[in-house]
Amino acid sequence: MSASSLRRWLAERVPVPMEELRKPLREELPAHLRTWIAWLGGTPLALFAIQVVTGILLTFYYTPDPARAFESVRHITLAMRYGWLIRSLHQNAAQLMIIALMLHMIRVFATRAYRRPRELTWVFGVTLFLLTLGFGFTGYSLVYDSLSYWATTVGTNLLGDVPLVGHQLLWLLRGGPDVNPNTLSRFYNFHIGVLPTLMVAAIVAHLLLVRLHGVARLEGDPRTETYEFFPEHVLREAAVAIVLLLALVVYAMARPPGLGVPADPSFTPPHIRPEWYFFPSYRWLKMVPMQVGIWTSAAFVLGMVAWPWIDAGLERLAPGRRIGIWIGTAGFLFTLVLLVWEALS
Amino acid sequence: MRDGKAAPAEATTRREFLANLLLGLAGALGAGAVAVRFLQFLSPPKPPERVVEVPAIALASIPDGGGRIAHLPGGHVAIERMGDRVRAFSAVCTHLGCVIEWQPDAQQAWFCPCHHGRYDREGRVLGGPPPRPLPPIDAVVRDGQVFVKLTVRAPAGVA
Amino acid sequence: MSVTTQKLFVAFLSLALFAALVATGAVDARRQAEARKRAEATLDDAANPQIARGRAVFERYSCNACHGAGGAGGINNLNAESGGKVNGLLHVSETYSVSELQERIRGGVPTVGKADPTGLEPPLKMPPFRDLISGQEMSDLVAYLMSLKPPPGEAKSSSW
Repeated sequence: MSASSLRRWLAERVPVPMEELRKPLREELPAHLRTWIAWLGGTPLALFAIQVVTGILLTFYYTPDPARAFESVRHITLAMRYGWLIRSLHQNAAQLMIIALMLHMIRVFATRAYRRPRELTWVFGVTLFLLTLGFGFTGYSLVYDSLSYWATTVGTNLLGDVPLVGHQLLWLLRGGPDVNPNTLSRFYNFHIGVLPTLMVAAIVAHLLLVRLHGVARLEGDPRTETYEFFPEHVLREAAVAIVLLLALVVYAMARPPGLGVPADPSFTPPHIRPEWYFFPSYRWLKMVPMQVGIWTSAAFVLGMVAWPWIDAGLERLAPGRRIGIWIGTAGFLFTLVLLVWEALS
Repeated sequence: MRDGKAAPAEATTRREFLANLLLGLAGALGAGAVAVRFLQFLSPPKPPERVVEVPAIALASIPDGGGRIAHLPGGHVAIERMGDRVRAFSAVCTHLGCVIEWQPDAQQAWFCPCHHGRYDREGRVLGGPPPRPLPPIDAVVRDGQVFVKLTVRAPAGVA
Repeated sequence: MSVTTQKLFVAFLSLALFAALVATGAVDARRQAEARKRAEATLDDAANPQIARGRAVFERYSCNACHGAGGAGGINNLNAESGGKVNGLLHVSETYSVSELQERIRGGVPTVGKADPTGLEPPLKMPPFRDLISGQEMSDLVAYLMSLKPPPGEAKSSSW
């Protein structure tokens, strides 16, 4: 049985034109992608893959029942072989993924790669970012220790203040009038079922659009030379992925995951806070009246989604003035200030 | 090699081949280590065990000449009473693991409802699919209480 | 960097990852040893015949239906003072003496305190067991309850 006869066997049964499949591998990438900051598109994907695998492993031992959730986390961390490693990888890859996404968004924003005709790629990208935040929120709620329980309670309560649909939204999210066993079960399902499905769909859409359009040329870059996706770019992405995994493993050994205090619904600890990537909104909502906070937050998200069109409009109004970049930088710095402020308080 | 050096084309291909080989091997090692750790995670450690004498049931609760099953933390035990003495076996059918019942009938003492395996008072197989006799269990009577020697395992879910 | 050099670099990184994963073995071995010691300690109780009998009494009288398997708690009791749930029993050895615990089991808890005084009466109350459990069964049950321990790292009971 030779390689070519195997190929023929396969080609007859899976009638796909091989040349078509090989084309994406030969895709020519513009030279500016050689700098490290341009590799940040693939990094969240590598980290997501780590999340999926470690997440699936964790579901072998985790139980989404309020009476046993914390105990199962404890069991994984202390008693299962390499449970500490899998849990550490899962927790920390999540943080890295959000950082990588933010860096990627900054890069795409700064290079204005969302310009026509790539607006939809951007829209799917923002969707991916919001889904990732959803993963972070639902995942944190599953630990069911004191801090995570109350952070989730406060976080979902905020939704109750959304005008018109707030109450129904809260009822749907909690599975009832208050935080009850349905709530944990629901959050678990979001985390392992609904969100992964939406995420995979959005990733496919995003990558398809990137491949179909080809990578956007860098404005004002005179270089015309290109290099191949495979193997050169793939090797770079592989190097980044392995470095990240290596860093995560070493960190897990240096600082193994710990355990908090089991959740007590009748006792609120004094310093509840959401995870760091929610600090900007958390700080903002503490600063302004609730309704103002909700409307401005919604406007911010909408602005992010519609940014390619807003930026195009700004370019038409004041060509060459790059107002968009100024607004973006100001917005980013403001978010950073809120984040640091909350972190230090 | 006329001038003592390999022709440049050959050297490049050899270097490329070595690089590919190294990459393949190193990649296999890395991926293999990841896979091994994941599989180890999925395979829980063996819980510690101890052979312990455990109180089963009161002697009086077994009719003389009869038998009863005791369901204990260390397992299911089939106990036969002969006056002041007892004989005990594992009550797990050696066929496919169902719990047997006391059902005296001529030579038969124990009966398995799942596939109709039959055992005698010595735990030997009289008929049906069981491949082996019932494993005997050490049992003594003290102060009217039957004690059996069982292997007790640490309860699962303990960290 | 040529493609060949890149391949060598990735190969080097893979080897580093391999080495790191091998090192995790040492860390895990230590943690497993600690976990095994803890599991062995529970065997001491499992091996103790009185505690084993006491556990059987606990299950025979369905105490676990309200107090949870192994006294872990978590069963809902709407508007109960003890966090809207029936209290667990993992801290009894800290808060009761043997005779106090016996009295508690015999007398039951006829009225459960309300978390919200204007709210409804908590549905689950503890019945008195004085006519049901006595003598050897009672001492075995109390021995079992006194052997219950909260998992390490849990805060001491604050209230009840």
